[in-house]
Amino acid sequence: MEKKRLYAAAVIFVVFTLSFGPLANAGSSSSVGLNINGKPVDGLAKIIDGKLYIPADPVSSLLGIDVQWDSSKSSVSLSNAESNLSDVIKKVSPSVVGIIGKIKQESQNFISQSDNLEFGSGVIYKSEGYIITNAHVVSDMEKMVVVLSNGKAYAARLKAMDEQSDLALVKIDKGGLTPAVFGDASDICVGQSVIAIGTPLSFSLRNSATKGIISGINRTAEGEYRFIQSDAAINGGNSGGPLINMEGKVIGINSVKYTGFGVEGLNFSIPVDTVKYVMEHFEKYGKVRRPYLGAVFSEGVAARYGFPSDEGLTITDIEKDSPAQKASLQIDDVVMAVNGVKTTTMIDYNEYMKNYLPGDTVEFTVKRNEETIKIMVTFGESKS
Amino acid sequence: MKPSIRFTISLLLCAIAAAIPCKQAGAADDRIVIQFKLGSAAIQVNGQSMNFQEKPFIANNTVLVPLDAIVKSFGAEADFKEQGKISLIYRDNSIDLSVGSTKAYVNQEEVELPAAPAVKNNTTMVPLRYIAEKFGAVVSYDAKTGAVSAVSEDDGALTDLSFLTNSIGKDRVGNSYYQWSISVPKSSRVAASSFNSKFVSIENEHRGINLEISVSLNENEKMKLSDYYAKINENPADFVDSDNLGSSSINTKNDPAYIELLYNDSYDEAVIQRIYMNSSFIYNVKLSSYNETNPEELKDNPYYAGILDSFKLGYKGGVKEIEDLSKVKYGMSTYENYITFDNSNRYFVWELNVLPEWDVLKSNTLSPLFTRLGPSISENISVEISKPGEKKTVEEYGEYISGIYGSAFNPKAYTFIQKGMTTVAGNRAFNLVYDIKLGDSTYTVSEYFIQAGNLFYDLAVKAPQDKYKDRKEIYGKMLETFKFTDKNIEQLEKDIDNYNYQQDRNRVGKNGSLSEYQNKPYKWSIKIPGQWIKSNSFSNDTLSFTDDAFGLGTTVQAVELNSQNKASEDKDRFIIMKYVADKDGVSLVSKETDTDKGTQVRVYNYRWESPEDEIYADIKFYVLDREKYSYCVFQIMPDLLKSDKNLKDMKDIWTSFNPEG
Repeated sequence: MEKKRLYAAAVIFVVFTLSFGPLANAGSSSSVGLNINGKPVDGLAKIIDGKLYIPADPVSSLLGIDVQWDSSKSSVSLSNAESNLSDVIKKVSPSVVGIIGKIKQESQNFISQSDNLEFGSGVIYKSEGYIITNAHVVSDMEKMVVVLSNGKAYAARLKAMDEQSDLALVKIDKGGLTPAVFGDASDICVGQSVIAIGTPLSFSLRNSATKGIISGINRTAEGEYRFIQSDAAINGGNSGGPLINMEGKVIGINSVKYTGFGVEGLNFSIPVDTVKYVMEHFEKYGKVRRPYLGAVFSEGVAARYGFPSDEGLTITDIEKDSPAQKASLQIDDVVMAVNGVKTTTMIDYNEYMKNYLPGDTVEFTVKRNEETIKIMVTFGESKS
Repeated sequence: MKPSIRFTISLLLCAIAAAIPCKQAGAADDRIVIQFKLGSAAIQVNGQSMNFQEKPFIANNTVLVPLDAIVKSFGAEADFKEQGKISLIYRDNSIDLSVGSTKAYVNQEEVELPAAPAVKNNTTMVPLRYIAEKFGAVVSYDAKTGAVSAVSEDDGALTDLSFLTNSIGKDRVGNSYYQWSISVPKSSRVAASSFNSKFVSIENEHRGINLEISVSLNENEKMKLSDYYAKINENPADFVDSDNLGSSSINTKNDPAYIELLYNDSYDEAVIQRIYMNSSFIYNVKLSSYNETNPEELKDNPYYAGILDSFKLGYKGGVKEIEDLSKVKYGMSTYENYITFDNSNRYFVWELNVLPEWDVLKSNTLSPLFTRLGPSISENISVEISKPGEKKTVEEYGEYISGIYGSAFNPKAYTFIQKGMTTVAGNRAFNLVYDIKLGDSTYTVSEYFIQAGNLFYDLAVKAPQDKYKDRKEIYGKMLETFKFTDKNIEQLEKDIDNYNYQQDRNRVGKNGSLSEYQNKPYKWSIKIPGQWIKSNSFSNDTLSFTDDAFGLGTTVQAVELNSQNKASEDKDRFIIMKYVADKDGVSLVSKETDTDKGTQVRVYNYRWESPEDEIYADIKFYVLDREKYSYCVFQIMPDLLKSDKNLKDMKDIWTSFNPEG
């Protein structure tokens, strides 16, 4: 999937002056076959008046050069992605905050005779003081303080928390903040450069920023949803902070909770679509209302290893009086699809469930004793 | 916490602290401003022009603005809990409004608004002046131009983060209860403080020093500083955490006078320790440096010596320049009990207010369910949590315990006084009062059993008989402050069940009846009451059986006879005998020879008395030789437990011992 870096609809020609002799007669133009990094590009290179012109579009996307077209000034700027780095960080920094708090005495992490301070990062979500961070950063904090990139600190309170997605919403009573720009799922692609920013430290701009690429859009051992796997190092300091792309858009929220231990370069961030789902629920309901079924699923062997398969999810247990029981689902039923959408893994199922609320009715395609049947299921409300 | 994290946090906090004086630089940032002209939908919010759906208008002589303007400028939180009801929160103030009503609530108190909030074109409009002023802004209205502005110079930015870091904001700290005060360098913080503030530890990472002030009771008000000095010089190891005392001196010219000790502690850090005294307390003030390993150099540095020289007695509180670290309120300190089993879940379970001189006493059991608070082993309040296997009412439980005491305790040492239902700290409680004799002293114990679901709290006050009579009222006052939690009880019960299970795994038998234990490698067997716990003492050839409820015990050691040990004394042959016989307070009473189990048995009777640990017990060693092995059976019988039943049980245990090796 390609993201156009051009800021104009028209194809722009870029002048490339080559050092070897005239390639064509002056005054004439001809088309030349073009290959970039071994990829053939549809014959759009042209020789005009002895100069070779190559279209900016494939150059930009295949060589990673940023092309910006300022239509009012009728000029075009090219820049190399690398030099963009500090600009991107500068642009996003005002939206990144540090969060410090004292660990509650009842917490497992409380150590007597220690200062019991813990900290993480957050992203400004709304200008009137709403901040997104990880649930695990704030879940056992009392006396929370948010520190802005300009060094000013404000008392903060926890507004909503969802441990299953490891996201939380925190509020400070301060207006005029710079919210981050959030991307969407289409902005996440493997191979893309990303930066993880965390805990900015005051006017000296001692931001912690780590760069990497998206290695995969994956699952983790503990997570319910898909995660962005990258090698942008994530540690306690930038956990809860944003993972941004080279356009300065937030495409994920970093979570140190899911970092693989002893495995280098395996860092996970919560993708922006999961973040948006959770924030929407926080705003509407104060918590995430997941559609509750009351059945325990087991994935097929292939699904567990990540191989493509058609196995479906086998029901291994049904809770008494649950929506699953009420819908007459049975143990050993294999759920193949929900409303026609294939559910091969738990992650598929959970991701698809983001579209539904307790009380919604869906159609399960179920394999029972070699027969395929369709069962209508109405979801209930989760108890927690 | 990890040093790297601590370093980062202190950097962060330094950065914030440094940023704050730069108010001039970010001045615009601090102000909250709402500015507009009547008749226009454009409002300047903190310098930015925003267009709202509705224009501000006047009703009842007051200007109404879109709620959103207030939310966006102040950063206030607006929640619509019900249709038409708005809950506004801004820092420490809350305002609850209703559309169409002038009745509102400011911090839960009813007020009258100058005009009712209204909804126009889907936009909620609220009275500007009333709300903005409550939130700390100054509102001005120019009738000629129609210009309105609400400005607040304070946006709520925190300037003092000491509540997070426990950092000390003043130059001097003190304890108004223990009456001491001392100057501390800037950026110091309180790293630790005991629940009664008897012990306070102050850290200053910038200077690399740690300052500890610990207070203990002066048992002898007539003792002079010079006497104490002599005591220290006799046995320095009893007073300092160090292998050798560098130097000691006494300074009687200073006010207050002090003893000074210089040494390197177990971390090899240089320490200057000064000891002060008055009729009530002994003060130990220790200054140690991370960076200095030579205590003499530390002392020569006027900076460090200066801190110690600033120590003064007599501070009683109420001095603006001194931060009071005392945790004593209305004459008592609150002890909060947290229980953790193997560092998994950590629970706050109960709290009790006690006199500030009281500390947590070391427990002779390692159970996380038992805590003792008091000045000493002879006067204290203990709290034990138990979960009986079967369901019982508090009366049943109380009677059950009372019955056990009756049969387990020596009638000469245990005197039942009374029992019955009462109330303690608002809870129904079964109260059992009795006297026990330990050594030459008699103590009164008053136990209260409180039921909390499946758990029982056993609060016991113990004090010497006369003291109990005198201080009954103050003990009662302390007991009345007992509070226990109702949070996370299910999880706590699960952890207790698990803990009990771990203990139960080591029991000799499945139920209380006699169980036979056979030791095949060393060829002996014995019959022990089933609920006793079996454990290895010194090595595999030594096995102990203990009644963990009361402290009765039997240990059996078998030693293979060889040319070396055949000729040795029993005491040298058996490590358990050597260990016990060499203990302080243990003395040999008599030695006999009996014919038993088909051979000559050497019986050693010892007496163990240790008043400071309240141990008064008889010890017996039975030693006999078989062909391959020599056996030693140790039995301990505390005076308090010399009931007919226990004496018989112990004798039966010896009788059942069958050595065949």
